Amino acid sequence: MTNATVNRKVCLLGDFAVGKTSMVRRFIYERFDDKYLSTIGVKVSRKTIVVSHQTQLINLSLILWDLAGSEEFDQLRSSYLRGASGAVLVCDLTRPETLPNLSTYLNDLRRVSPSAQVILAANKADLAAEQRLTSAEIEAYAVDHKVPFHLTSAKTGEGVENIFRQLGQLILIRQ
Amino acid sequence: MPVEAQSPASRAAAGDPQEIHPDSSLEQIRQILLRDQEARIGGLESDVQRLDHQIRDESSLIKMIAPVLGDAIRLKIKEARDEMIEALYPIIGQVVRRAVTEAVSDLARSLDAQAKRAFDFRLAWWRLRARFGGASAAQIRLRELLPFKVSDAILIHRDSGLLLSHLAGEASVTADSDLFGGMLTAIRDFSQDTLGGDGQDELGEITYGDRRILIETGRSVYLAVIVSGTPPPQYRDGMRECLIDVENAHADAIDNHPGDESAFSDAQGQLQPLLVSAEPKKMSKSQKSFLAAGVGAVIIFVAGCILLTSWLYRASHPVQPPPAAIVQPSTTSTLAPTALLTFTPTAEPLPTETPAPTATLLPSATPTTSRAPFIGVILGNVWMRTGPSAEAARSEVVLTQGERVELLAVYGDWLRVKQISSEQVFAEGWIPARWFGAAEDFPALLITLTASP
Repeated sequence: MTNATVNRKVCLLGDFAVGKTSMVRRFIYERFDDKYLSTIGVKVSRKTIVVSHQTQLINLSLILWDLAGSEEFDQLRSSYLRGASGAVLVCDLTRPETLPNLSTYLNDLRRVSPSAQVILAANKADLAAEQRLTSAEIEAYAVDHKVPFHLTSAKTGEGVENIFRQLGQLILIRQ
Repeated sequence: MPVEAQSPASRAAAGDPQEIHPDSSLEQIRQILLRDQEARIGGLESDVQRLDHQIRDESSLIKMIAPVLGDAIRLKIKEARDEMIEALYPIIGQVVRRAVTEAVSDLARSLDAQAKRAFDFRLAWWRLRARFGGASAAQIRLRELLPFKVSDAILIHRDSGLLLSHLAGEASVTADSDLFGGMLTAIRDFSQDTLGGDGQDELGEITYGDRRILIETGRSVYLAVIVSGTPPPQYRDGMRECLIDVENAHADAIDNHPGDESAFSDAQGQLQPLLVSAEPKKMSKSQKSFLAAGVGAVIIFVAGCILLTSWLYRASHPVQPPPAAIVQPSTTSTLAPTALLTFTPTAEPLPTETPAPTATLLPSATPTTSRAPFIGVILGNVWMRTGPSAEAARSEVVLTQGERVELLAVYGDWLRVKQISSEQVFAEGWIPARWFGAAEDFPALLITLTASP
């Protein structure tokens, strides 16, 4: 029996250089590129995962919109968020300011796509020695904003697959 | 232990006559009198709740308003026409502007095509192809003049950029239509945010070399068609009609399940005309054979005509053998420089046996080649004379100022010339050199040491 195929738009949001593009590359190509590729505003990629939903398997095609985190694209961001079913908020464990800054992105998303499902990725977990954000701080933020969170590392791949799978499940459940 | 307070009504209901409040009877009277009103209020509350639900539920609201919406608009237009025009102008004006722009573009394309084919001998060929190709001559002409090919027709959700349907032609160029839909939507959003101004304009086309992405935007979806060459007139109209059909047929799926592929499985059929209309029907095998035979017959006929014409021409124009250069020593005593016009290779001067020896350097010979005549203009009215001298007799011909003459020979200050302006008379004679005007020096070959009368 052929699985039903569903396409959903997912945006990656977060400050400049928190690791959004690297997470996408890790998720899609299963590799990590140390050389950071600065995005030009948005880059669209696709990854299809199979998830179970209501006793059936579904081919969930995630159309990943990797949005630039720099301020010059602030005005454009709202347009890019339209029609999103989900979003991954990405912060950098080595840069504490990237966590509260996520509220701006989250507010933009809620305004444009109120029903979008959100998940928080605290990235660069591999840089243990340089971490300046504690798990408690991240958990507190996640509870405040009612979003699940994961510690991830685009470099090692830790938690990356899980975060997209969980987001996919949330999208299908709450659609 | 706290004591609970009892209401007068409850005490009355408990049958305690001592505790009946003085207002209880009034309350009973009020209940009796207002029973109907309370029931009515209860009904109204439920009505309000139901209406509130309908207003908050978008689909219920649409169902409620839809039947009377048309009538309401018609009534409003009737009563306040100017007001409605003003309100609708931002939308209607935009539509009209786009329609006019497209109409002008279509007209320009038609004129270009007309200009191209006006003097084109391929017209007959197109008609022949149309005859056997199953398309009209106009379509074939258009196809020839405006090469056009559709490679992909892609239907994309306007907000999310999710791919709804993709119809790939023979020369499809989109390796991953999902990514194409996403990136094109991002580009559209970027264009609109950067250039859109009031947000009414839409990205209509992207050009890359010979390829173009034609974009037609609807209410919730947009259609992107990748083409090469120039689209024929009305192709945009076709795209728009197709888009409207798709939106009408899939309105619910577009609004509620834009990412579900199964909901748009039949949309490809609706996109099909966009590919078919761009390619003329192919000929059948028998049609091709018949066309080839016809073309062969035409070629044979034309070749026969050429051969026949060639044969008739040769029959009526026999080939003359080339004249041989005959060197004839002059045996006459003529002084006329008859050989001055020839360019025939000549031998060294031959001495003559005549009593009056001529000093001509060139023997007379049959001219075999000709050179361009040396033409000059007469500078005043002057008599032609029979010899290179003022004492020579006049030839009764007067050359007039401005008359063009050909120079035949130069003898000292005298020139032998020939009239060329006159239609019938070509008199020759001598004139003083000062009456002859020319842009160049006299050719050396015309200078002679002798003069013939």
